[in-house]
Amino acid sequence: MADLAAKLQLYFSYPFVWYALIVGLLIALCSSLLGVTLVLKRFSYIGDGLSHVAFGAMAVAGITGLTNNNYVVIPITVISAILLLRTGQNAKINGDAAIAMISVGALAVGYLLMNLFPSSANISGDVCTTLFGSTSILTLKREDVILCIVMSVIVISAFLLFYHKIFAVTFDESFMKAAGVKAGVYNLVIAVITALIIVLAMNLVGSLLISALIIFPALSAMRVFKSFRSVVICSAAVSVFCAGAGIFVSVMFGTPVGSTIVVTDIAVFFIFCIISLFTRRKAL
Amino acid sequence: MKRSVSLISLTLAAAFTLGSCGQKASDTPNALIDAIVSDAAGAEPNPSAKYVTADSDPNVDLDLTAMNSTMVYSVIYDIMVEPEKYYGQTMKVDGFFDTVTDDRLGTRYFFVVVPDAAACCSQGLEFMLDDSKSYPDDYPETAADIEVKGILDRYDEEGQTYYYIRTDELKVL
Amino acid sequence: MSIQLECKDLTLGYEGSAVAEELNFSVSEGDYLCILGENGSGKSTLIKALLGLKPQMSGEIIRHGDIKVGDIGYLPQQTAIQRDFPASVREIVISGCLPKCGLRPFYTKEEKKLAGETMARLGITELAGRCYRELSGGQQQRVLLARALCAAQKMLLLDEPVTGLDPKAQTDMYELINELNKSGITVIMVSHDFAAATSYASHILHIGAHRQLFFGTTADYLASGVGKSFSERTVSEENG
Repeated sequence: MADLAAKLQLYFSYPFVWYALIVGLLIALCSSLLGVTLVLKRFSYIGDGLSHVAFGAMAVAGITGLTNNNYVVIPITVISAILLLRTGQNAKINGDAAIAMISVGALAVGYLLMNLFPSSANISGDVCTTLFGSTSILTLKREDVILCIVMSVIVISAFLLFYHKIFAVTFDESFMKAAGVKAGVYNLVIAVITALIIVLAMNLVGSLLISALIIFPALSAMRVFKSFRSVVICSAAVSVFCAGAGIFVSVMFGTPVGSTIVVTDIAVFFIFCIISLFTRRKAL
Repeated sequence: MKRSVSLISLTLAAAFTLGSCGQKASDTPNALIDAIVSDAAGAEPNPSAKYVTADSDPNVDLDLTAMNSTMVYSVIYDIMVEPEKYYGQTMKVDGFFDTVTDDRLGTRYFFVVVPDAAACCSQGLEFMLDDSKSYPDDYPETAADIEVKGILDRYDEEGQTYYYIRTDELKVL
Repeated sequence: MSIQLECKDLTLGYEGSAVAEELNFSVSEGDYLCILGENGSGKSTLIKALLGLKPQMSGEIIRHGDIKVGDIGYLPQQTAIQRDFPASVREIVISGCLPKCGLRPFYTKEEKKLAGETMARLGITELAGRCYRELSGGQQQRVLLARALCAAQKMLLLDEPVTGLDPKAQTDMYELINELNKSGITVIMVSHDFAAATSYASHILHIGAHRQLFFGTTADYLASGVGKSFSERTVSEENG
């Protein structure tokens, strides 16, 4: 026990562990807020689709040789998000087919580009890091943390400012349009915020696991809570807790960060399922 | 349509501005980070001998063999990125042995390579035994598991500073 | 009674093919218009056009007085997403006030008061904190009706409001809509329920075979050939 305490002190004396915690908690918070909306709009898989697009964009950015990949990745991901989320109800290609096409296409193109124009010696390592996150969250530089803080502040403020509108447009878009609300604009806001969060979250859990970070906290909250506001708050709390616990466990016990966070999310989801069995019975 | 186009351009402009104005925007977050990190890590953000754990070697400042793979990888990355913080510390690392030559300069380099938890990425820390040892007689086989114990030192080559572990203890595991 | 809405030679359709042609009718303040027709006759397209959600192919929709787009309270058909939505009744009802908010990120006291009063009017105040997905079909429709009333107090457009409700709930719904109409709200209802339409509505618009088959008062409708044949068909369907 004392040994664990000593290890704790040792590990948490490193700045990069604190960077990981700050970034992890912020990303978890932002993605859980969005997660509720995306799950309810039946866009749960968008995290996956957009992260594959970001992967392809990173390959393209690698070719151009820019110092900061984000200059290419963020615009491409934002535009794809807008295209995907706005195809909505009247598209010739339905939402899920569109996501599948763009997602797989970007992954294939990205991997091909990375092999044709390698920007580093270890291609499979880069791919692996991007897909699974590996330890990238523990190798953040201070500028990364600052960027993350700034983006999180933007995302959270946008969400708070547009909260009622996001709720209304998610619940019933045609009613709002009929009533003269510019639903298209708010869908655009949601799309842009989603893209920003996904680019950020790729650092935390990697492309393959982003969907989990977006949907699990929302689904857990929806099992138990009854109003949109309580669902959003609970989803945020669950997400932050799981991210913190996941990072803590992975630092202390040497497990991969991304998967540990997702496993914690899954465990919490099961706990909420069990809780809902009891609360449902009470209602009857 | 026009409105969405202008909104998209606005968002992109904002993203670019943020990227480039990182400096100005970073003052408050910087102060915030400093507050968190220095509060937690103490005045010296580097580990010292008082953080010795049950299975770590008390004779070295930084015993990476007693840490789990996630931490080892991150600490080595930290050493690569900010080696000045670790200059002069004694450290103990295990990994596998690798060697490369620079054909142009005719020099040979030795590394202890450490993979990450998923074993898909790895980093190599350079080390040097003293001049009395020669390759290949006194060195292990490539990819052999080794443990290196020494002091982080540095040298200059062609205008670049390189950090390495100066060691006389190379154990084959 | 002043005319609020007029349609002249309205033709509706998608991508070049017309679904309903040459519709001519008007709605005055306090009317209760029921739009009858088989499925696929163009009723939904007409609704979307009246609400400004879809442009018409040709003809005009003239809105008089203070009925602009957005002044019609809309009760759409429920989607699967909504039936399962985690939201409290209060959150949904007050979202009807959103169009008035503009960029303001919060609701004013007056808007909250309006929501409360509307819920009382429709008899759902005790449901305010309940979760929407736990309500019965009839209760859910009342909640959506309350939302529509928060959005607009002069005219209501109801798209098949009793779909999926059991007979008692259906009757309750029709009674409620009737009361609202008697209190001065213009009602436009889309339905294929002949019996209800002819019992409650003041005017009937019957669309079929891609054109307008009838527009006028209910009494005239029942006396007309269209009305008679439709009623016979309905009676024979009911008798099996």
